Amino acid sequence: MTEPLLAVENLCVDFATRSGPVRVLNDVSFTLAPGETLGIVGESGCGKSMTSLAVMGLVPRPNGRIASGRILFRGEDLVRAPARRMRQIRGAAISMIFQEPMTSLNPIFTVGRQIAEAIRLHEDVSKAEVRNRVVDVLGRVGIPDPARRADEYPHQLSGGMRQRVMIAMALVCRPQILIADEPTTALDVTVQAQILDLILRLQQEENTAVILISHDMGVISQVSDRVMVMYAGRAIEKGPCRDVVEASAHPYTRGLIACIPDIDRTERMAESDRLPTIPGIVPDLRALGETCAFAPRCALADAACEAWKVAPIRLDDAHVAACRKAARGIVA
Amino acid sequence: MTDGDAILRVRDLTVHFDTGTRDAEGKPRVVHAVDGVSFDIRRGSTLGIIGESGCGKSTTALAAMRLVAGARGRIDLGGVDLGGLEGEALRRQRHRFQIIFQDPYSSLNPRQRVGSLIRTPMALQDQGTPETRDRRVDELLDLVGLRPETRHLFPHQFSGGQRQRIGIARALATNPDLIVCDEPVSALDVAIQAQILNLMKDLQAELGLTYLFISHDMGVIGYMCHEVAVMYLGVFVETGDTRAILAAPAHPYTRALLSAIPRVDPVNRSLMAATRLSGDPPSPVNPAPGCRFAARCPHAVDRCRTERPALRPVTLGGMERSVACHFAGEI
Repeated sequence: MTEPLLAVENLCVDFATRSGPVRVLNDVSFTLAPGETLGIVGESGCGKSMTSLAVMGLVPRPNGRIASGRILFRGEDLVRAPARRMRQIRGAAISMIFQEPMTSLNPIFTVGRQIAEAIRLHEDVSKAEVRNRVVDVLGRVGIPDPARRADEYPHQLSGGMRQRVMIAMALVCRPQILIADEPTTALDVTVQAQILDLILRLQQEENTAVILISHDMGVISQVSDRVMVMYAGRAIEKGPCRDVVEASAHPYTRGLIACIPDIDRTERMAESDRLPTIPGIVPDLRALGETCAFAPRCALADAACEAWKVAPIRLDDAHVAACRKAARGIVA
Repeated sequence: MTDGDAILRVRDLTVHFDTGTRDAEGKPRVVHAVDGVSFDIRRGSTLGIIGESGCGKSTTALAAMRLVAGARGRIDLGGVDLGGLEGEALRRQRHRFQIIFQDPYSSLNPRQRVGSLIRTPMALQDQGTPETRDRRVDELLDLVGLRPETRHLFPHQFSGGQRQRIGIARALATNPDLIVCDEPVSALDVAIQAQILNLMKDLQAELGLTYLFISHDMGVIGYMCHEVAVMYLGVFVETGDTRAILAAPAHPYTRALLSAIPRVDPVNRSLMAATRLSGDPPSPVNPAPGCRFAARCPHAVDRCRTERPALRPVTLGGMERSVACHFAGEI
């Protein structure tokens, strides 16, 4: 394997609350290679968006802070990088697409001007050159009549078109890493398919590395090379997409996949059959320690699990799960 | 979708909203939100309406509940024409049809305790006495999987899934004939979604409930609904048995919708090879004559752009359903 483009090592993020600090990311590590797509999947509050904000140097201050760990971008530790350096990287070498194409665009500026801003902040180019690149990038993301659309305001565009503008803005400086945080969640399925297709096509053209964050295991399984599953602030399973989805080693991953009402599966179900469920709800992050956070909901958990200090269990070169029983084959 | 045992019969439901503006030719710009929709729901069954945002599925459900001003059409609920009722007479019927909303946060009054939230529909409809209502609140909480002691708590003390259980208990309070479920699990995480869907199925089996179920998620529809209506730009394009339509979709739009679903399948990455629709749904303001889907349809010919197809029975894959497409069964 080549040198990773991005290596996140033992990242911990704390938030100050009235009842003391809460660890929202706990010992998260992963790597990303050029041209690769890493899918991060999990339920609300599991830390998937916080992971991406940490990489972008956007952990909300003053309440949040990176307590420990390193974020190595081509060997440079972004946790220790000064604000000025982060501004150079953000939006240029590493850029991000947010979930809400409605609220992430400024309603009072034309979309062309907002894309131009990204270029002017990072590069010293002429006005004419900026305009050319704006129109070019809008065309590349599949916006018809880009020269006219560049002069329109966000409210004149549909949701799908706005998300294309967001993608154009993220790609205009040719980033090495593109973080897409639920890029299609607000969109209809037929538009979602168009947008995912677009992201992957542009990724191939530029060999961009993509971190795709989603709550939708279907989306993750369709586009990722590798997958990281998060639960209550921890990465509980990591590995090649096929291994994680089809040979899940962590009971939470299996539960998360089983409870999806998949049309191919429900077709075979009888009227009296019910979807498998994970009992209970996600735990309060304030109440967590170093033991397995999933144990109280886990059908396989025993007394030893409740005492076990969580650690990644290596199943093979690439597949890791934070479950005591994963290594012994009890899980599979 | 006509049936002798139907609890709800809707005919030619039409909702047009005048935007108050005019187009270049001086014609009023009218949003055709729902354009002549008809359906029946059998007692004890679930009819799903699926479609993308803005297709009119929620408006159809709300209009069927007489919650949209200016809706036209016949709405027959168990022999009573709701479409012909107004004011107090309509209010007197409201205990027979209740609704579960999408957002369990904004649909529960944050200042009202849970017991009071569930009791209110009974009190408004003069059902029972204060004592029997209290007993019924406890029963309902138990039925939806919450402890009766929680009646003293406020909505903010519950998780999203628990709040949706409260919403379901409130909808059940007056023993309705029909429950409209407007995207009841869209705001929930998938693990919680499964719990709520199972609860709704269990309640249906136990109490013989009838659901009109609105969703944009074909997986959820496939699990919950006996019959389904696929809606596009204010009209039904395909209706019938859910399994028949999922197994062999006949309308080009239903096919596109199904192929755009990201399946949990890391090997067969069908999403990326899907027959993809380009563009967004066109505007529902003064829609063009002909088939509403013609502009995005890969099979459209001139006839599609001039002549509006009616729903007609089509057999495909050995299973019958109704399709509004001139070429259904041939393409």
